[in-house]
Amino acid sequence: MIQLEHVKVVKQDTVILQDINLTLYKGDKVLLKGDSGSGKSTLIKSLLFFEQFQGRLLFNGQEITVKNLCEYRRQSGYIGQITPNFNENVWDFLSIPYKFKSNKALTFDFQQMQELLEKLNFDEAVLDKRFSELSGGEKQRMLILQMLLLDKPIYLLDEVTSALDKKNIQSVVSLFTGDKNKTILSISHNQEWEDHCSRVIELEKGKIVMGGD
Amino acid sequence: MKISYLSLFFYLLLLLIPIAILVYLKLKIVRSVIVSFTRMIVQLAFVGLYLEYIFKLDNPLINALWILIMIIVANQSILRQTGLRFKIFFFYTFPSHIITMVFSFVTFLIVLDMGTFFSARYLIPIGGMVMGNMLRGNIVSLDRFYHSLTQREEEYIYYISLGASKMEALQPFISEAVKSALSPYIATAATMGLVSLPGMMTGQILGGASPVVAIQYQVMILVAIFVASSISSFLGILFSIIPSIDDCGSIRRDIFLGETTKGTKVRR
Repeated sequence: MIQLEHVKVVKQDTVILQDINLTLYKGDKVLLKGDSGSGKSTLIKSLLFFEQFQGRLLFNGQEITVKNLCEYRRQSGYIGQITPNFNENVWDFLSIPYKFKSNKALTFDFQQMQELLEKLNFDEAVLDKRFSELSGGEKQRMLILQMLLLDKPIYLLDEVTSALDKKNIQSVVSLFTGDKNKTILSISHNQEWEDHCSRVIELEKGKIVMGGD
Repeated sequence: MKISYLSLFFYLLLLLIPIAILVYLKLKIVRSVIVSFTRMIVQLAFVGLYLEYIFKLDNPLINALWILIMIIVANQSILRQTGLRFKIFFFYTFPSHIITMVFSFVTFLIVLDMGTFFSARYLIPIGGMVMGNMLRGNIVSLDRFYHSLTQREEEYIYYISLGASKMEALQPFISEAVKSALSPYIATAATMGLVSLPGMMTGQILGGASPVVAIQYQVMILVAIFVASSISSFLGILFSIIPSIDDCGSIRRDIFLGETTKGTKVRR
């Protein structure tokens, strides 16, 4: 369970988020909606403590401090609107996380990768392609695949289906919302998310106007 | 041949040509051109006077002090040009320059003997050249590092989220920054002698040294510049990370001048 209590974010003297009270329960599937500039991305970054804010962030009832922040972040998988510069092939791209020290104990689950490739409508030949030569949509799905292989309990997603066609949006949404144990918070403008999420939170000018605590 | 002040003054009048071009192009940098060139003349005149004295005194302590002042000014200039906040970075980037310069000076002794190198006539101009380039390299690398990190913060957070430690997640940004700082030197080294004759070599030849001696010094100084720029652009970033990014990878919000954030840091 993740809780934001009376969270306020001010940047350059502009209030970005104001009095945010929000609880994400285990297994929640939450869609975060709002116009651009309403503070959605800032809210997701606050949930990871990558924004400085006034207020409190709690994980399973415990306040996040320097001591437990790294561990807390390890539990959450964040995917933003990014296109990393990566010149090696897709196979190398997928193996990046396994080179990190904290993931030394993890083993690359080849079978799960094959399943995810299929669910995300990829052909296995894609593994030999250069990552930089993939299309925008393919890159987006590849980031999702890479993160899903790590099997995190919490996923925080910022417009992860923005470059996808309808078929792929459906695949991605069902992958994230299909597992009842995973906690999902997704920013998106796609109806598909709204149809599959259990809760919708709407932000307007930095305030929650619908679906907060 | 000596240049007379009068002829140098007439030569300066040539600046009216670029100023006319700038006015015609409506580029509003005429003022800064005039200010910069005036500053250059005043500063060089002062340096000329100081150097006359320093060369005459040739006191190791004064030489060391002079170099120290140069490093402080360089550090300040690097932070000002990159828009990074003095209060946060000054004492962290400073040691990186000190380490670089001490390393440079010690390694010059491979080529030059101690008595010669530590005399003001050698130490100060050579130190100045190395430091000038170190400054340029640092401006490029720090600027590139902090700007790409803040612009592509999502990518950085993504790596942290994949399980990367702070340094693992920063590594692509550090590599890019160091590469952009060093690329110009690599390009310059490759065309040296073909496209351009470097300033030091030209100066020595004009001063009457044989081209062979001038080339020897030039090779030494180019290697020194490249080594110093590599060490300092890398160390500069590494040391600057200490106050700006905490152990869990959070980036301070007020690293750039003019940015303020009201909020609490993670509680201890």
